[in-house]
Amino acid sequence: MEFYLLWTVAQRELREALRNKWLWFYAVGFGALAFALAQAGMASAGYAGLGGFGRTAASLVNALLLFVPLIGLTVGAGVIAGERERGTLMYLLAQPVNRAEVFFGKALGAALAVLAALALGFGLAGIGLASAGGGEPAAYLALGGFATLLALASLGLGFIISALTRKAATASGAALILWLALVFLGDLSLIGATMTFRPAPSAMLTLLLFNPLQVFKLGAIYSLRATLDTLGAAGQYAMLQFGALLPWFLGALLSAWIVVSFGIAFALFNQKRNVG
Amino acid sequence: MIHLDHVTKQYHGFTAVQDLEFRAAAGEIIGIIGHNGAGKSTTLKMIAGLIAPTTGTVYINGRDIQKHGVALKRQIGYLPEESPLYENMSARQYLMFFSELYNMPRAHARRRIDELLTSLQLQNPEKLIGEYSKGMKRKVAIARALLHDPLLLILDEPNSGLDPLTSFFIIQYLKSLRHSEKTILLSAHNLFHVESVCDRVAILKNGRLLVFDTMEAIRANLGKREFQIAFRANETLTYARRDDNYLYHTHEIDDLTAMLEKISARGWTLVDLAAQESALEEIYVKLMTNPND
Repeated sequence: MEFYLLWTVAQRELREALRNKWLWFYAVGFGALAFALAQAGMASAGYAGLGGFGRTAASLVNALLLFVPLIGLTVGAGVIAGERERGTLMYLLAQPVNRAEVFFGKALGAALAVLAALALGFGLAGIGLASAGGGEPAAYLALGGFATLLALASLGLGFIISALTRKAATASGAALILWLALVFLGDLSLIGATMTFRPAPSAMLTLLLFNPLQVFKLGAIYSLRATLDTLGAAGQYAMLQFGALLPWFLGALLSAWIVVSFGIAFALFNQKRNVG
Repeated sequence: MIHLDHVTKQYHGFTAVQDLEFRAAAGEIIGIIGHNGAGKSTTLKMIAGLIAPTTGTVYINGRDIQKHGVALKRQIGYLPEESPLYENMSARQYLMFFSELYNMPRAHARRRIDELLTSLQLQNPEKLIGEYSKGMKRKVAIARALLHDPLLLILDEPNSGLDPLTSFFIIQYLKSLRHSEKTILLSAHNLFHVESVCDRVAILKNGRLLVFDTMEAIRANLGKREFQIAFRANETLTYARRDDNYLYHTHEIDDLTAMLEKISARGWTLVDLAAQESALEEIYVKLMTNPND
Protein backbone atom coordinates (compact mmCIF):
# COMPACT_ATOMS: atom_id res chain seq x y z
CA MET A 1 0.00 0.00 0.00
CA GLU A 2 1.48 3.36 -1.08
CA PHE A 3 0.97 6.06 1.54
CA TYR A 4 1.06 8.97 -0.92
CA LEU A 5 -1.85 7.43 -2.85
CA LEU A 6 -3.78 6.87 0.36
CA TRP A 7 -3.12 10.46 1.40
CA THR A 8 -4.13 11.83 -2.04
CA VAL A 9 -7.46 9.99 -1.79
CA ALA A 10 -7.83 11.10 1.86
CA GLN A 11 -7.30 14.79 1.03
CA ARG A 12 -9.99 14.68 -1.65
CA GLU A 13 -12.36 12.85 0.68
CA LEU A 14 -11.71 15.36 3.44
CA ARG A 15 -12.52 18.29 1.11
CA GLU A 16 -15.65 16.48 -0.06
CA ALA A 17 -16.80 15.64 3.49
CA LEU A 18 -16.17 19.18 4.71
CA ARG A 19 -18.57 20.37 2.00
CA ASN A 20 -21.30 18.21 3.51
CA LYS A 21 -23.74 20.70 5.02
CA TRP A 22 -25.27 18.05 7.29
CA LEU A 23 -21.91 17.49 8.96
CA TRP A 24 -21.73 21.17 9.94
CA PHE A 25 -25.41 21.27 10.80
CA TYR A 26 -24.93 18.46 13.34
CA ALA A 27 -21.61 19.89 14.57
CA VAL A 28 -23.01 23.37 15.10
CA GLY A 29 -26.17 21.87 16.63
CA PHE A 30 -24.09 19.87 19.08
CA GLY A 31 -21.79 22.84 19.78
CA ALA A 32 -24.70 25.21 20.42
CA LEU A 33 -26.44 22.71 22.69
CA ALA A 34 -23.18 21.99 24.55
CA PHE A 35 -22.50 25.72 24.91
CA ALA A 36 -25.98 26.31 26.31
CA LEU A 37 -25.67 23.33 28.68
CA ALA A 38 -22.29 24.58 29.88
CA GLN A 39 -23.63 28.05 30.54
CA ALA A 40 -26.75 26.83 32.29
CA GLY A 41 -24.98 24.12 34.31
CA MET A 42 -22.16 26.32 35.53
CA ALA A 43 -24.48 29.22 36.32
CA SER A 44 -26.60 26.99 38.59
CA ALA A 45 -23.48 25.77 40.43
CA GLY A 46 -22.72 29.03 42.23
CA TYR A 47 -19.42 28.82 44.05
CA ALA A 48 -19.22 25.05 43.79
CA GLY A 49 -17.54 24.94 40.41
CA LEU A 50 -16.80 21.21 40.54
CA GLY A 51 -20.35 20.16 41.17
CA GLY A 52 -21.42 22.46 38.36
CA PHE A 53 -18.98 20.84 35.99
CA GLY A 54 -20.19 17.37 36.95
CA ARG A 55 -23.78 18.24 36.12
CA THR A 56 -22.77 20.02 32.91
CA ALA A 57 -20.60 17.14 31.79
CA ALA A 58 -23.34 14.61 32.52
CA SER A 59 -25.67 16.64 30.27
CA LEU A 60 -22.90 16.84 27.70
CA VAL A 61 -22.60 13.04 27.70
CA ASN A 62 -26.26 12.78 26.76
CA ALA A 63 -25.82 15.35 24.00
CA LEU A 64 -22.73 13.48 22.76
CA LEU A 65 -24.65 10.19 22.79
CA LEU A 66 -27.13 11.71 20.36
CA PHE A 67 -24.88 13.74 18.09
CA VAL A 68 -21.61 11.81 17.80
CA PRO A 69 -23.07 8.55 16.41
CA LEU A 70 -25.34 10.58 14.13
CA ILE A 71 -22.35 12.44 12.63
CA GLY A 72 -20.22 9.30 12.29
CA LEU A 73 -22.95 7.10 10.83
CA THR A 74 -24.32 9.61 8.32
CA VAL A 75 -20.89 10.69 7.04
CA GLY A 76 -19.63 7.10 6.84
CA ALA A 77 -22.76 5.83 5.09
CA GLY A 78 -22.49 8.38 2.30
CA VAL A 79 -18.83 7.90 1.38
CA ILE A 80 -18.70 4.72 -0.72
CA ALA A 81 -22.38 4.47 -1.65
CA GLY A 82 -22.38 8.06 -2.93
CA GLU A 83 -19.34 7.52 -5.12
CA ARG A 84 -20.69 4.20 -6.33
CA GLU A 85 -24.03 5.79 -7.26
CA ARG A 86 -22.37 8.64 -9.17
CA GLY A 87 -20.04 6.22 -10.99
CA THR A 88 -16.94 8.04 -9.80
CA LEU A 89 -15.81 5.07 -7.72
CA MET A 90 -15.46 2.91 -10.82
CA TYR A 91 -13.49 5.69 -12.47
CA LEU A 92 -11.23 6.00 -9.43
CA LEU A 93 -10.61 2.26 -9.40
CA ALA A 94 -9.58 2.42 -13.06
CA GLN A 95 -6.49 4.34 -11.88
CA PRO A 96 -3.31 2.68 -10.60
CA VAL A 97 -4.58 2.49 -7.03
CA ASN A 98 -5.60 -0.66 -5.23
CA ARG A 99 -8.84 -1.07 -3.34
CA ALA A 100 -7.10 -0.83 0.04
CA GLU A 101 -5.61 2.58 -0.87
CA VAL A 102 -9.00 3.83 -2.01
CA PHE A 103 -10.86 2.45 1.01
CA PHE A 104 -8.43 3.53 3.72
CA GLY A 105 -7.80 6.87 2.00
CA LYS A 106 -11.53 7.53 2.11
CA ALA A 107 -11.74 6.33 5.70
CA LEU A 108 -8.90 8.63 6.73
CA GLY A 109 -10.41 11.65 4.94
CA ALA A 110 -13.87 11.02 6.41
CA ALA A 111 -12.37 10.47 9.88
CA LEU A 112 -10.52 13.78 9.73
CA ALA A 113 -13.73 15.56 8.68
CA VAL A 114 -15.73 13.98 11.51
CA LEU A 115 -13.01 14.87 14.01
CA ALA A 116 -12.99 18.45 12.71
CA ALA A 117 -16.75 18.65 13.29
CA LEU A 118 -16.33 17.14 16.76
CA ALA A 119 -13.55 19.61 17.56
CA LEU A 120 -15.89 22.46 16.60
CA GLY A 121 -18.60 21.14 18.92
CA PHE A 122 -16.17 20.53 21.76
CA GLY A 123 -14.58 23.89 21.15
CA LEU A 124 -17.92 25.67 21.54
CA ALA A 125 -18.71 23.68 24.66
CA GLY A 126 -15.24 24.43 26.05
CA ILE A 127 -15.77 28.14 25.45
CA GLY A 128 -19.09 27.83 27.26
CA LEU A 129 -17.48 26.13 30.23
CA ALA A 130 -14.52 28.49 30.37
CA SER A 131 -16.67 31.60 30.13
CA ALA A 132 -18.87 30.28 32.96
CA GLY A 133 -15.68 29.97 35.01
CA GLY A 134 -15.56 26.26 35.70
CA GLY A 135 -14.45 22.92 34.42
CA GLU A 136 -11.83 20.27 34.77
CA PRO A 137 -9.56 20.22 31.76
CA ALA A 138 -8.36 16.64 32.36
CA ALA A 139 -11.89 15.26 32.66
CA TYR A 140 -12.97 17.30 29.67
CA LEU A 141 -10.06 15.89 27.61
CA ALA A 142 -10.92 12.34 28.66
CA LEU A 143 -14.51 12.97 27.60
CA GLY A 144 -13.15 14.26 24.28
CA GLY A 145 -11.04 11.11 23.92
CA PHE A 146 -14.01 8.80 24.43
CA ALA A 147 -16.11 10.93 22.06
CA THR A 148 -13.37 10.61 19.42
CA LEU A 149 -13.36 6.82 19.77
CA LEU A 150 -17.15 6.71 19.57
CA ALA A 151 -17.12 8.95 16.49
CA LEU A 152 -14.64 6.65 14.74
CA ALA A 153 -16.55 3.51 15.74
CA SER A 154 -19.76 5.07 14.38
CA LEU A 155 -17.91 6.04 11.21
CA GLY A 156 -16.79 2.42 10.84
CA LEU A 157 -20.39 1.23 11.19
CA GLY A 158 -21.40 3.85 8.62
CA PHE A 159 -18.75 2.47 6.26
CA ILE A 160 -20.23 -1.03 6.61
CA ILE A 161 -23.61 0.35 5.50
CA SER A 162 -21.92 2.24 2.68
CA ALA A 163 -20.05 -0.82 1.44
CA LEU A 164 -23.30 -2.79 1.36
CA THR A 165 -25.47 -0.27 -0.50
CA ARG A 166 -25.49 1.13 -4.02
CA LYS A 167 -27.40 4.35 -3.42
CA ALA A 168 -26.57 7.23 -1.11
CA ALA A 169 -30.21 7.72 -0.07
CA THR A 170 -30.56 4.05 0.92
CA ALA A 171 -27.32 4.28 2.89
CA SER A 172 -28.47 7.44 4.70
CA GLY A 173 -31.80 5.80 5.56
CA ALA A 174 -30.05 2.71 6.90
CA ALA A 175 -27.67 4.90 8.92
CA LEU A 176 -30.58 6.70 10.56
CA ILE A 177 -32.30 3.41 11.40
CA LEU A 178 -29.07 2.09 12.96
CA TRP A 179 -28.68 5.34 14.89
CA LEU A 180 -32.21 5.02 16.26
CA ALA A 181 -31.54 1.39 17.14
CA LEU A 182 -28.29 2.19 18.97
CA VAL A 183 -29.55 5.29 20.77
CA PHE A 184 -33.09 4.39 21.70
CA LEU A 185 -33.70 0.69 21.12
CA GLY A 186 -30.36 -0.13 22.75
CA ASP A 187 -31.45 1.52 25.99
CA LEU A 188 -35.00 0.17 25.81
CA SER A 189 -33.89 -3.38 25.14
CA LEU A 190 -31.44 -3.20 28.04
CA ILE A 191 -34.19 -2.01 30.37
CA GLY A 192 -36.54 -4.66 28.99
CA ALA A 193 -33.97 -7.43 29.39
CA THR A 194 -33.21 -6.33 32.95
CA MET A 195 -36.87 -6.28 33.96
CA THR A 196 -37.74 -9.55 32.24
CA PHE A 197 -34.74 -11.77 32.89
CA ARG A 198 -33.14 -10.04 35.91
CA PRO A 199 -29.69 -11.09 34.69
CA ALA A 200 -26.58 -11.21 36.85
CA PRO A 201 -24.45 -8.03 36.79
CA SER A 202 -21.76 -9.83 34.75
CA ALA A 203 -24.30 -10.75 32.08
CA MET A 204 -25.69 -7.22 32.18
CA LEU A 205 -22.22 -5.80 31.62
CA THR A 206 -21.57 -8.19 28.71
CA LEU A 207 -24.84 -7.12 27.08
CA LEU A 208 -23.97 -3.48 27.64
CA LEU A 209 -20.56 -3.79 26.04
CA PHE A 210 -22.13 -4.99 22.76
CA ASN A 211 -23.36 -1.45 22.17
CA PRO A 212 -20.53 1.04 21.54
CA LEU A 213 -22.76 3.84 22.87
CA GLN A 214 -23.04 2.13 26.23
CA VAL A 215 -19.28 1.57 26.28
CA PHE A 216 -18.82 5.29 25.64
CA LYS A 217 -21.37 6.17 28.31
CA LEU A 218 -19.56 4.04 30.92
CA GLY A 219 -16.19 5.50 29.98
CA ALA A 220 -17.44 9.08 29.85
CA ILE A 221 -19.16 8.90 33.22
CA TYR A 222 -16.13 7.25 34.80
CA SER A 223 -13.89 10.02 33.38
CA LEU A 224 -16.12 12.65 34.92
CA ARG A 225 -15.64 11.00 38.32
CA ALA A 226 -19.34 10.69 38.68
CA THR A 227 -20.57 7.72 40.64
CA LEU A 228 -21.14 4.65 38.54
CA ASP A 229 -24.37 3.86 40.35
CA THR A 230 -26.01 6.05 37.73
CA LEU A 231 -25.40 3.06 35.47
CA GLY A 232 -26.77 0.59 37.94
CA ALA A 233 -25.46 -2.82 38.85
CA ALA A 234 -23.52 -3.32 35.61
CA GLY A 235 -21.54 -0.13 36.17
CA GLN A 236 -20.68 -1.05 39.73
CA TYR A 237 -19.72 -4.55 38.64
CA ALA A 238 -17.43 -3.08 35.97
CA MET A 239 -15.84 -0.84 38.55
CA LEU A 240 -15.23 -3.81 40.85
CA GLN A 241 -13.83 -5.95 38.08
CA PHE A 242 -11.50 -3.47 36.42
CA GLY A 243 -10.86 -0.81 39.05
CA ALA A 244 -8.59 1.96 37.76
CA LEU A 245 -8.09 0.05 34.51
CA LEU A 246 -11.72 0.48 33.56
CA PRO A 247 -11.26 3.53 31.27
CA TRP A 248 -8.40 1.78 29.48
CA PHE A 249 -10.48 -1.35 29.07
CA LEU A 250 -13.39 0.67 27.71
CA GLY A 251 -11.06 2.65 25.44
CA ALA A 252 -9.61 -0.63 24.13
CA LEU A 253 -13.13 -1.94 23.57
CA LEU A 254 -14.13 1.13 21.55
CA SER A 255 -10.85 0.81 19.62
CA ALA A 256 -11.78 -2.80 18.87
CA TRP A 257 -15.14 -1.56 17.59
CA ILE A 258 -13.24 0.78 15.25
CA VAL A 259 -10.88 -1.92 13.96
CA VAL A 260 -13.59 -4.55 13.54
CA SER A 261 -16.11 -2.22 11.87
CA PHE A 262 -13.59 -0.85 9.37
CA GLY A 263 -12.25 -4.39 8.84
CA ILE A 264 -15.73 -5.70 7.99
CA ALA A 265 -16.43 -2.68 5.77
CA PHE A 266 -13.18 -3.23 3.86
CA ALA A 267 -13.90 -6.94 3.42
CA LEU A 268 -17.34 -6.07 1.99
CA PHE A 269 -15.90 -3.35 -0.25
CA ASN A 270 -13.24 -5.73 -1.51
CA GLN A 271 -15.83 -8.40 -2.24
CA LYS A 272 -18.01 -6.18 -4.45
CA ARG A 273 -15.44 -6.09 -7.21
CA ASN A 274 -17.93 -6.20 -10.06
CA VAL A 275 -19.92 -3.18 -9.00
CA GLY A 276 -17.17 -0.70 -8.45
CA MET B 1 -0.30 -5.28 -26.81
CA ILE B 2 -3.74 -6.74 -25.95
CA HIS B 3 -4.74 -10.37 -25.96
CA LEU B 4 -8.14 -11.58 -24.85
CA ASP B 5 -7.67 -15.27 -24.27
CA HIS B 6 -11.07 -16.97 -24.46
CA VAL B 7 -12.66 -14.49 -22.10
CA THR B 8 -16.16 -15.09 -20.73
CA LYS B 9 -18.05 -12.90 -18.29
CA GLN B 10 -21.20 -13.97 -16.51
CA TYR B 11 -23.38 -11.98 -14.12
CA HIS B 12 -25.68 -14.09 -11.96
CA GLY B 13 -26.07 -16.69 -14.68
CA PHE B 14 -26.38 -14.18 -17.54
CA THR B 15 -23.56 -14.40 -20.06
CA ALA B 16 -22.52 -10.86 -21.00
CA VAL B 17 -19.43 -11.90 -22.98
CA GLN B 18 -18.79 -15.37 -24.32
CA ASP B 19 -15.43 -16.91 -25.25
CA LEU B 20 -13.96 -13.72 -26.65
CA GLU B 21 -10.62 -14.20 -28.35
CA PHE B 22 -8.74 -11.41 -30.09
CA ARG B 23 -5.44 -9.63 -30.22
CA ALA B 24 -4.60 -6.01 -30.94
CA ALA B 25 -1.10 -4.85 -31.81
CA ALA B 26 0.62 -1.74 -30.47
CA GLY B 27 -0.41 1.41 -32.35
CA GLU B 28 -3.63 -0.08 -33.74
CA ILE B 29 -7.00 1.62 -33.48
CA ILE B 30 -9.69 -0.97 -32.89
CA GLY B 31 -13.41 -0.25 -33.09
CA ILE B 32 -15.86 -2.37 -31.11
CA ILE B 33 -19.46 -2.23 -32.24
CA GLY B 34 -22.63 -4.05 -31.34
CA HIS B 35 -26.20 -3.55 -30.18
CA ASN B 36 -27.06 -2.42 -26.66
CA GLY B 37 -26.18 -5.27 -24.32
CA ALA B 38 -23.85 -6.90 -26.85
CA GLY B 39 -21.03 -6.88 -24.31
CA LYS B 40 -18.98 -3.87 -25.52
CA SER B 41 -18.73 -2.06 -22.18
CA THR B 42 -18.15 -5.31 -20.28
CA THR B 43 -15.32 -6.17 -22.66
CA LEU B 44 -13.73 -2.74 -22.26
CA LYS B 45 -14.08 -2.89 -18.45
CA MET B 46 -12.35 -6.26 -18.41
CA ILE B 47 -9.51 -4.90 -20.54
CA ALA B 48 -9.24 -1.89 -18.21
CA GLY B 49 -8.99 -4.31 -15.27
CA LEU B 50 -12.15 -3.02 -13.63
CA ILE B 51 -13.94 -6.34 -13.64
CA ALA B 52 -12.51 -9.83 -13.66
CA PRO B 53 -13.48 -12.35 -16.36
CA THR B 54 -15.41 -15.37 -15.15
CA THR B 55 -13.12 -17.53 -17.27
CA GLY B 56 -10.21 -16.69 -19.56
CA THR B 57 -7.53 -14.03 -19.21
CA VAL B 58 -6.93 -10.51 -20.45
CA TYR B 59 -3.26 -9.88 -21.20
CA ILE B 60 -1.77 -6.41 -21.67
CA ASN B 61 1.79 -6.57 -22.95
CA GLY B 62 1.86 -10.24 -22.02
CA ARG B 63 0.80 -9.68 -18.41
CA ASP B 64 -2.50 -10.67 -16.81
CA ILE B 65 -4.40 -7.45 -15.97
CA GLN B 66 -5.99 -9.09 -12.92
CA LYS B 67 -2.61 -10.04 -11.44
CA HIS B 68 -0.69 -6.89 -12.37
CA GLY B 69 -3.57 -4.42 -12.29
CA VAL B 70 -1.90 -1.48 -10.56
CA ALA B 71 1.27 -1.61 -12.69
CA LEU B 72 -0.64 -2.06 -15.97
CA LYS B 73 -3.19 0.65 -15.17
CA ARG B 74 -0.32 3.14 -15.31
CA GLN B 75 -0.25 2.44 -19.08
CA ILE B 76 -4.02 2.61 -19.56
CA GLY B 77 -6.29 5.59 -20.05
CA TYR B 78 -9.94 4.62 -19.60
CA LEU B 79 -12.96 6.67 -20.56
CA PRO B 80 -16.25 5.18 -19.36
CA GLU B 81 -19.52 5.56 -21.26
CA GLU B 82 -20.77 8.22 -18.86
CA SER B 83 -18.53 11.02 -17.57
CA PRO B 84 -18.56 10.46 -13.83
CA LEU B 85 -16.58 13.44 -12.59
CA TYR B 86 -16.15 15.18 -9.25
CA GLU B 87 -18.50 18.01 -10.05
CA ASN B 88 -17.52 20.29 -7.19
CA MET B 89 -13.92 20.47 -8.36
CA SER B 90 -12.70 22.72 -11.16
CA ALA B 91 -11.34 21.04 -14.29
CA ARG B 92 -7.82 22.01 -13.30
CA GLN B 93 -8.20 20.74 -9.69
CA TYR B 94 -9.71 17.54 -11.01
CA LEU B 95 -6.85 16.88 -13.41
CA MET B 96 -4.31 17.78 -10.71
CA PHE B 97 -5.92 15.24 -8.37
CA PHE B 98 -5.51 12.48 -10.94
CA SER B 99 -1.95 13.57 -11.76
CA GLU B 100 -1.17 12.98 -8.06
CA LEU B 101 -2.56 9.45 -8.31
CA TYR B 102 -0.06 8.90 -11.13
CA ASN B 103 2.66 10.45 -8.98
CA MET B 104 3.42 12.96 -11.75
CA PRO B 105 5.82 15.72 -10.67
CA ARG B 106 3.79 18.90 -10.11
CA ALA B 107 5.55 21.03 -12.71
CA HIS B 108 5.22 18.31 -15.34
CA ALA B 109 1.54 17.79 -14.40
CA ARG B 110 0.83 21.53 -14.76
CA ARG B 111 2.45 21.61 -18.21
CA ARG B 112 0.59 18.51 -19.34
CA ILE B 113 -2.74 19.86 -18.06
CA ASP B 114 -2.21 23.16 -19.91
CA GLU B 115 -1.35 21.22 -23.06
CA LEU B 116 -4.52 19.11 -22.82
CA LEU B 117 -6.73 22.07 -21.95
CA THR B 118 -5.47 23.83 -25.07
CA SER B 119 -5.65 20.88 -27.44
CA LEU B 120 -9.15 19.91 -26.27
CA GLN B 121 -10.28 23.56 -26.31
CA LEU B 122 -11.40 23.41 -22.69
CA GLN B 123 -12.21 26.96 -21.74
CA ASN B 124 -12.55 28.25 -18.16
CA PRO B 125 -10.61 25.46 -16.44
CA GLU B 126 -11.13 27.18 -13.09
CA LYS B 127 -14.91 26.79 -13.37
CA LEU B 128 -16.56 23.99 -11.38
CA ILE B 129 -17.10 20.89 -13.51
CA GLY B 130 -20.74 20.80 -12.40
CA GLU B 131 -21.29 24.07 -14.26
CA TYR B 132 -19.93 22.71 -17.57
CA SER B 133 -22.06 21.54 -20.50
CA LYS B 134 -22.17 17.82 -21.28
CA GLY B 135 -19.70 18.27 -24.14
CA MET B 136 -17.23 20.12 -21.92
CA LYS B 137 -17.56 17.43 -19.24
CA ARG B 138 -16.78 14.81 -21.86
CA LYS B 139 -13.68 16.75 -22.83
CA VAL B 140 -12.58 16.86 -19.17
CA ALA B 141 -13.06 13.08 -18.99
CA ILE B 142 -11.02 12.64 -22.18
CA ALA B 143 -8.30 14.92 -20.80
CA ARG B 144 -8.25 12.76 -17.69
CA ALA B 145 -7.84 9.60 -19.75
CA LEU B 146 -4.94 11.17 -21.65
CA LEU B 147 -3.31 12.94 -18.70
CA HIS B 148 -0.56 10.41 -18.03
CA ASP B 149 0.10 9.85 -21.73
CA PRO B 150 -1.03 6.20 -21.68
CA LEU B 151 0.07 3.61 -24.23
CA LEU B 152 -3.40 2.09 -24.31
CA LEU B 153 -6.49 4.23 -24.55
CA ILE B 154 -9.88 2.60 -23.89
CA LEU B 155 -12.78 4.80 -24.95
CA ASP B 156 -16.32 3.62 -24.28
CA GLU B 157 -18.68 5.64 -26.48
CA PRO B 158 -16.57 8.81 -26.52
CA ASN B 159 -19.32 10.66 -28.41
CA SER B 160 -22.17 9.49 -26.23
CA GLY B 161 -24.84 12.21 -25.97
CA LEU B 162 -22.75 14.90 -27.64
CA ASP B 163 -23.88 17.39 -30.26
CA PRO B 164 -22.55 16.81 -33.81
CA LEU B 165 -19.98 19.59 -33.59
CA THR B 166 -18.38 18.38 -30.37
CA SER B 167 -18.63 14.84 -31.65
CA PHE B 168 -16.80 15.81 -34.84
CA PHE B 169 -14.15 17.61 -32.78
CA ILE B 170 -13.53 14.52 -30.65
CA ILE B 171 -13.27 12.23 -33.66
CA GLN B 172 -10.80 14.61 -35.29
CA TYR B 173 -8.86 14.65 -32.02
CA LEU B 174 -8.74 10.84 -31.95
CA LYS B 175 -7.52 10.86 -35.54
CA SER B 176 -4.74 13.19 -34.48
CA LEU B 177 -3.66 10.60 -31.88
CA ARG B 178 -2.98 8.10 -34.67
CA HIS B 179 0.53 9.53 -34.97
CA SER B 180 1.24 9.11 -31.25
CA GLU B 181 1.69 5.33 -31.48
CA LYS B 182 -1.07 4.74 -28.96
CA THR B 183 -3.22 1.64 -29.10
CA ILE B 184 -6.83 2.77 -29.01
CA LEU B 185 -9.90 0.66 -28.30
CA LEU B 186 -13.05 2.50 -29.16
CA SER B 187 -16.68 1.49 -28.84
CA ALA B 188 -19.29 3.56 -30.64
CA HIS B 189 -22.80 3.51 -31.98
CA ASN B 190 -21.91 5.88 -34.78
CA LEU B 191 -20.53 3.46 -37.32
CA PHE B 192 -19.36 6.20 -39.64
CA HIS B 193 -16.99 7.35 -36.90
CA VAL B 194 -15.70 3.82 -36.37
CA GLU B 195 -15.18 3.38 -40.09
CA SER B 196 -13.33 6.64 -40.42
CA VAL B 197 -10.98 6.17 -37.46
CA CYS B 198 -10.35 2.47 -36.89
CA ASP B 199 -7.84 0.10 -38.45
CA ARG B 200 -9.81 -2.97 -37.47
CA VAL B 201 -13.35 -3.52 -36.31
CA ALA B 202 -14.81 -6.09 -33.91
CA ILE B 203 -18.54 -6.75 -34.19
CA LEU B 204 -20.21 -8.25 -31.13
CA LYS B 205 -23.65 -9.80 -30.96
CA ASN B 206 -25.15 -11.19 -27.75
CA GLY B 207 -21.71 -11.33 -26.15
CA ARG B 208 -20.06 -13.22 -29.00
CA LEU B 209 -17.51 -11.95 -31.46
CA LEU B 210 -18.98 -12.25 -34.95
CA VAL B 211 -16.29 -10.49 -36.94
CA PHE B 212 -12.87 -9.04 -36.22
CA ASP B 213 -11.02 -7.74 -39.24
CA THR B 214 -9.93 -4.73 -41.25
CA MET B 215 -12.65 -2.71 -42.98
CA GLU B 216 -11.36 -3.88 -46.38
CA ALA B 217 -11.60 -7.54 -45.39
CA ILE B 218 -15.03 -7.05 -43.81
CA ARG B 219 -16.29 -5.41 -46.99
CA ALA B 220 -14.77 -8.12 -49.16
CA ASN B 221 -16.29 -10.91 -47.09
CA LEU B 222 -19.58 -9.45 -45.99
CA GLY B 223 -20.25 -6.35 -48.04
CA LYS B 224 -21.50 -5.87 -51.56
CA ARG B 225 -19.91 -3.74 -54.19
CA GLU B 226 -22.43 -1.79 -56.18
CA PHE B 227 -21.64 -0.67 -59.74
CA GLN B 228 -23.28 2.33 -61.30
CA ILE B 229 -23.24 3.13 -65.00
CA ALA B 230 -24.34 6.51 -66.38
CA PHE B 231 -24.99 6.61 -70.14
CA ARG B 232 -26.76 8.62 -72.85
CA ALA B 233 -29.05 7.27 -75.52
CA ASN B 234 -30.96 8.86 -78.41
CA GLU B 235 -34.08 6.94 -77.60
CA THR B 236 -36.53 6.73 -74.71
CA LEU B 237 -35.64 3.95 -72.26
CA THR B 238 -37.12 2.63 -69.01
CA TYR B 239 -33.95 3.10 -66.93
CA ALA B 240 -33.82 5.63 -64.12
CA ARG B 241 -32.72 9.12 -65.16
CA ARG B 242 -30.59 11.84 -63.66
CA ASP B 243 -30.19 15.02 -65.68
CA ASP B 244 -29.63 13.89 -69.30
CA ASN B 245 -28.23 10.53 -68.33
CA TYR B 246 -29.72 7.14 -67.74
CA LEU B 247 -28.53 5.23 -64.67
CA TYR B 248 -27.97 1.50 -64.28
CA HIS B 249 -27.11 -0.21 -60.94
CA THR B 250 -25.97 -3.76 -60.29
CA HIS B 251 -24.08 -5.80 -57.68
CA GLU B 252 -23.09 -8.51 -60.19
CA ILE B 253 -19.99 -8.24 -62.35
CA ASP B 254 -21.62 -10.38 -65.09
CA ASP B 255 -24.59 -7.99 -65.32
CA LEU B 256 -22.17 -5.08 -65.49
CA THR B 257 -20.26 -6.68 -68.38
CA ALA B 258 -23.51 -7.46 -70.21
CA MET B 259 -24.72 -3.86 -69.83
CA LEU B 260 -21.43 -2.44 -71.09
CA GLU B 261 -21.67 -4.71 -74.14
CA LYS B 262 -25.27 -3.57 -74.70
CA ILE B 263 -24.27 0.12 -74.53
CA SER B 264 -21.54 -0.50 -77.05
CA ALA B 265 -23.76 -2.57 -79.34
CA ARG B 266 -26.62 0.00 -79.33
CA GLY B 267 -24.27 2.92 -79.92
CA TRP B 268 -25.17 4.62 -76.64
CA THR B 269 -22.58 6.86 -74.97
CA LEU B 270 -20.93 5.73 -71.71
CA VAL B 271 -20.67 8.79 -69.41
CA ASP B 272 -19.47 7.27 -66.13
CA LEU B 273 -18.72 3.94 -64.48
CA ALA B 274 -18.34 3.91 -60.68
CA ALA B 275 -18.08 1.24 -58.01
CA GLN B 276 -19.44 1.90 -54.55
CA GLU B 277 -18.65 -0.31 -51.57
CA SER B 278 -20.97 -1.19 -48.68
CA ALA B 279 -20.76 1.05 -45.68
CA LEU B 280 -20.09 -0.56 -42.31
CA GLU B 281 -23.64 0.33 -41.36
CA GLU B 282 -25.10 -1.86 -44.09
CA ILE B 283 -22.90 -4.79 -43.13
CA TYR B 284 -23.71 -4.30 -39.45
CA VAL B 285 -27.47 -4.23 -40.06
CA LYS B 286 -27.17 -7.36 -42.16
CA LEU B 287 -25.25 -9.18 -39.43
CA MET B 288 -27.52 -8.05 -36.64
CA THR B 289 -30.70 -9.07 -38.46
CA ASN B 290 -29.36 -12.47 -39.48
CA PRO B 291 -31.07 -14.95 -37.13
CA ASN B 292 -28.35 -17.55 -37.75
CA ASP B 293 -25.66 -15.46 -36.04
